[in-house]
Amino acid sequence: MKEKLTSLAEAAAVVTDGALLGLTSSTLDNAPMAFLRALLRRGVKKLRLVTLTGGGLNADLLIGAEALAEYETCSCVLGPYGAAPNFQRALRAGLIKMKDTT
Amino acid sequence: MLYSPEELMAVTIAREVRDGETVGVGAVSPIPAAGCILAEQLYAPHLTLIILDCEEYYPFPAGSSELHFMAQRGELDLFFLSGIQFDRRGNFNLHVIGDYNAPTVRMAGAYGSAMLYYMAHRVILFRDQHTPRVFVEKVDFVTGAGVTPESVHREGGPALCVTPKAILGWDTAAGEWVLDQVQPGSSVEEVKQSTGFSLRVSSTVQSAAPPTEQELLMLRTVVKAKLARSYPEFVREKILTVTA
Repeated sequence: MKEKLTSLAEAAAVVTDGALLGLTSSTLDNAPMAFLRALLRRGVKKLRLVTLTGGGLNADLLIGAEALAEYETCSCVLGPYGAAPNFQRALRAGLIKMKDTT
Repeated sequence: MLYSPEELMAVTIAREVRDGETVGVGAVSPIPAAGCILAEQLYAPHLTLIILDCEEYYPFPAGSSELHFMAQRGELDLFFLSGIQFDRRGNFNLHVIGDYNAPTVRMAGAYGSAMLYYMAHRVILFRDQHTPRVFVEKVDFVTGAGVTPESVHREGGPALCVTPKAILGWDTAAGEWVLDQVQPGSSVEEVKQSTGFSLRVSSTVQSAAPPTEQELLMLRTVVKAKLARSYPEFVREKILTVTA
């Protein structure tokens, strides 16, 4: 029978530099954080990220690790904990191409 | 009776809600939430009231999707939006101060507000500060537009703008804000000086009636209790305590 399970590292290897990555988790909940950390351990760069409905800790981690080139979202905030610091810092410095949606 | 600016705004909003409406209140909106619950208690007992993050008033599973879907189906009669800048033409800004590509201030983003501004039948803008920095000639970024071309499908749009100093009405024909009512303790002159654009004053401008004892008492007891879990800091700091 075909083995359907794979390791985290193998799954993360699918995402290469410059890939378009979509995450459906929002501010703090349901984010695949272990997967995102596995991506960062590989040192992946210049990702294009889309978050639905909005982003938060997921995007802020990738941005803090300088792994994003482009970000499309309707918002990025850490829910009750307020502003997403890496997101705000990177955008003020013009480090990411931003695509705001409604 | 003394009252806080937030209490004043909640009372203003309570008086504007119409009985029987389906009303939505989004995230980070304690003032409209308080105003709508107050309206339900005193003036509009037949509301369908949906308040995000408030268990008693949120009939859906967690998340804001259902509220947005209702608006998209044209089912929301009234919604509330705020912003870091408002301008004369009804535009609001929830994105950046300064250049979009290298802003001095960056906010979280629109979070559906632009769609809600077009699809809710009436939208009340609110802001707890009425200063020339908030009310500017032209917003640095248009998150939601007050006026759109006829080709753009739109169910509704701006109705009122509520601050601690004024209640601005929306002139649909002219596509601009007009000073309709001055809040207690302020004056037409003070409102004009606190507004960074040339504000037209209605020929029928009047002073809003101050909050009544009944409104404040209800706000500080029933409404305060209902909001305490969703907005603990707000009710502690902005809704005053009833003194015997």
